[in-house]
Amino acid sequence: MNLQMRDGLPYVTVTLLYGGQQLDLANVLLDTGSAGTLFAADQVLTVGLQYDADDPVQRIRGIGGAEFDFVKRIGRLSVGELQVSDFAIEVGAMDYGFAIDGIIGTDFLLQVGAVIDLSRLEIRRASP
Amino acid sequence: MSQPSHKVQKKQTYGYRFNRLSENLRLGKVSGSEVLESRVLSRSPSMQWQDIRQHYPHQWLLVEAITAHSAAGKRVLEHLAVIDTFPDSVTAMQRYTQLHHDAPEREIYVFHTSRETLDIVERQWLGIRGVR
Repeated sequence: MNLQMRDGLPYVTVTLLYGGQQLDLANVLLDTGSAGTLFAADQVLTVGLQYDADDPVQRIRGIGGAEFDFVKRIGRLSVGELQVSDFAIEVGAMDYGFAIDGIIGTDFLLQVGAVIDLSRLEIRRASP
Repeated sequence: MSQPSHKVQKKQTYGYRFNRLSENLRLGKVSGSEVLESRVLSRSPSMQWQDIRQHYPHQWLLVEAITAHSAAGKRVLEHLAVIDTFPDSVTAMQRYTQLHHDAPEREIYVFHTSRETLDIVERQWLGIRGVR
């Protein structure tokens, strides 16, 4: 899958599967500086993914302050040919002042063994 | 019909100013940031989670940490103030987003009071630095 560069940052399109429904999100940042994978609450709400009373919660603390999010298991997360089934995502407000639907973090990239090729601006599986 | 129990009476007294604020919020008389401001000015009581669970059973809450600390990868909330109550998590999260935007320095959470303990994992993140 090709990387789309915007404001000097690499974005990909991802597909989430939750409760039998599929959601494509085009503004997802590829971020090896984030341990976890995060999506915007208003986006995932469109496939019925919402905060349940007993969902695990987290506090993400960083330079820009701190924010609260909850953790949810989804059926599948795909970035092109790279995919993980039964994957835990974080869901939060993601109010960063610009258009962003989510962040693919190092947890997903490690599990799929992603190769991020910045000379070709693409993300793919490692060659066998 | 039975008279209001002592427990109900206590809850009404305790939650009065919050209820009035949330009513004004629903009516559009005040904005979210004004609610936060009012809450501070009125010196609302801070409570521990178990007290809050008793006062606001079976509800979604927007709460603010008044005193909290970090230890062993967890965020420990010692005293909380209830900002508002909600019938569902979707509207609670929408209000969270609005208040977090208006007052990012405040430590705000959304919890349902069926949650027995607040087990909050804390994680570091440098954040996004784009070229604007």
